[in-house]
Amino acid sequence: MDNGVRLRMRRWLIGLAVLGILFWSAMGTESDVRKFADIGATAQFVATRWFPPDWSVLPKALHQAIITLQIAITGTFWALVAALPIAFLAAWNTAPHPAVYHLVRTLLSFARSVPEIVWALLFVPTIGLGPFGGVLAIFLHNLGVLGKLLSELVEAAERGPQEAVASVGARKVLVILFGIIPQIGPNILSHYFYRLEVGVRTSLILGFIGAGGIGAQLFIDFNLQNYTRVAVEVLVIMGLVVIVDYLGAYLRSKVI
Amino acid sequence: MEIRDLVKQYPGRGRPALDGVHLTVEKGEFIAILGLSGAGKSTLIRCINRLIEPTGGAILWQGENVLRKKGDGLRAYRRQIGMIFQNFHLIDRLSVFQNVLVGRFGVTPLWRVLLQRFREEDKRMAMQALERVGMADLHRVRADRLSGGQRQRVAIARALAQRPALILGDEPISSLDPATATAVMELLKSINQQEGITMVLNLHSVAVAKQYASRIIGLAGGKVVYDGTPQELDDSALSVIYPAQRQDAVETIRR
Repeated sequence: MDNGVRLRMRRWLIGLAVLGILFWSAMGTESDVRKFADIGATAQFVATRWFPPDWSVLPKALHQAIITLQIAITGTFWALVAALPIAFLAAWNTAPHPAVYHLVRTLLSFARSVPEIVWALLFVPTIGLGPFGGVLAIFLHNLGVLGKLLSELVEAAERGPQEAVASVGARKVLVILFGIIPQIGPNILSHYFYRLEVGVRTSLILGFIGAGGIGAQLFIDFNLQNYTRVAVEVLVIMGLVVIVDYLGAYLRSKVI
Repeated sequence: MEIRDLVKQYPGRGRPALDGVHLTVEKGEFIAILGLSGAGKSTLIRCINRLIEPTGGAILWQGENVLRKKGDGLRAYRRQIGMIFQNFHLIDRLSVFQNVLVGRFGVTPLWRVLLQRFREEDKRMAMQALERVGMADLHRVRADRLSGGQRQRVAIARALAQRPALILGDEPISSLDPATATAVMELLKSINQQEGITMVLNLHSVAVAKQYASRIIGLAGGKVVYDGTPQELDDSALSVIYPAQRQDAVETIRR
């Protein structure tokens, strides 16, 4: 067999494999576009049950949206504060010992591999339901994520300024504070604002399992079939996400 | 300062970068180190203040082996040695003055640095260093706003602020244009003569080395292959320092 034929056969095989995986996934999830024939049911559901929106719920929805935002801010901010020193233990060029480096990396990887929902449910016996559970869940997950991201920034920081500060006889702390932090500062903030955006969306979902905020209220009204209230809450959520995404993108473009 | 049989073997490389370097540096000398890229010039300079850890040999400074120093002792030793670099290595986001104050970090208590409450004496020394290099009027400017020559002057001021006995330079003029490079070399020469600070500089231009240095060290394959005055550095000596070069290439380097 010459090379051209072999190459073409390989392409066919890869194509067949991809198709197979797509078909298999569709089967497992009962995905079937023919079901859309009944799209009118959804249109009628929204038109008759969601309208007119019950605007009386707006003040409460806005208040709850602010709680959602506060959960994300508190959780991610303290995650950043805690991740900053930890990142230097998890970077090979600043870790005091290889054993520390490996241990901290493993712990960080554990913290971020546990989804926020699991963290939140885990602490229910201790702190019960409510916004603080959401804060804790977002804190722990983002500690893992930011710890890893920041440690990579530390590892990629330019050696030159670090050498310069070390060469004057300064302590290691100062080599880090002056030789590394000023270089990576803007990138740290950029990562942080992105995690804040993600945190707002996560805290919406955490509301479904009782962590408070607009997510919780949406979930309750949905279960009580108060769809005219749901309509207002969905609009508030959309507004919140759009504003946070826009602000996040703006702040990230400012700091870089 | 005396360097004895200094060896640096990078892990996983065949030949050592420094292969038994012997060198004595007297106070007040102006030494230029010449050699091809990879001859071990940068490694040697960095081994002297232990930014790179040598794997063998000894460096004696005022009678003590500095390779045994650690912690406070090592930092006290580094304080006496200023260093300048090819790419200046200033902290871009800080002002010129803040960058020069870094030169005082070795003697400033940690809390003073963290709270940015520097002693008047340290601030005065930093300002004097800036005046010495002619950059005092730009002390408030952010370091990343400066030109290359200005940045190297600030870096020299940072080294001067340490009140060092010795200044090490790793290709200090290689990223500067010829006119700026000359001005920086003149400045280093005058610091050498007036303040009596010993200079040990890696250079890639034979002409510059011959013009400014009181002594030239040739490095090839991690060994000292020439150690003498600029006057004695003839074509045969150059062909030992730059072994792979043909004679016409040596001619080019001399110009």
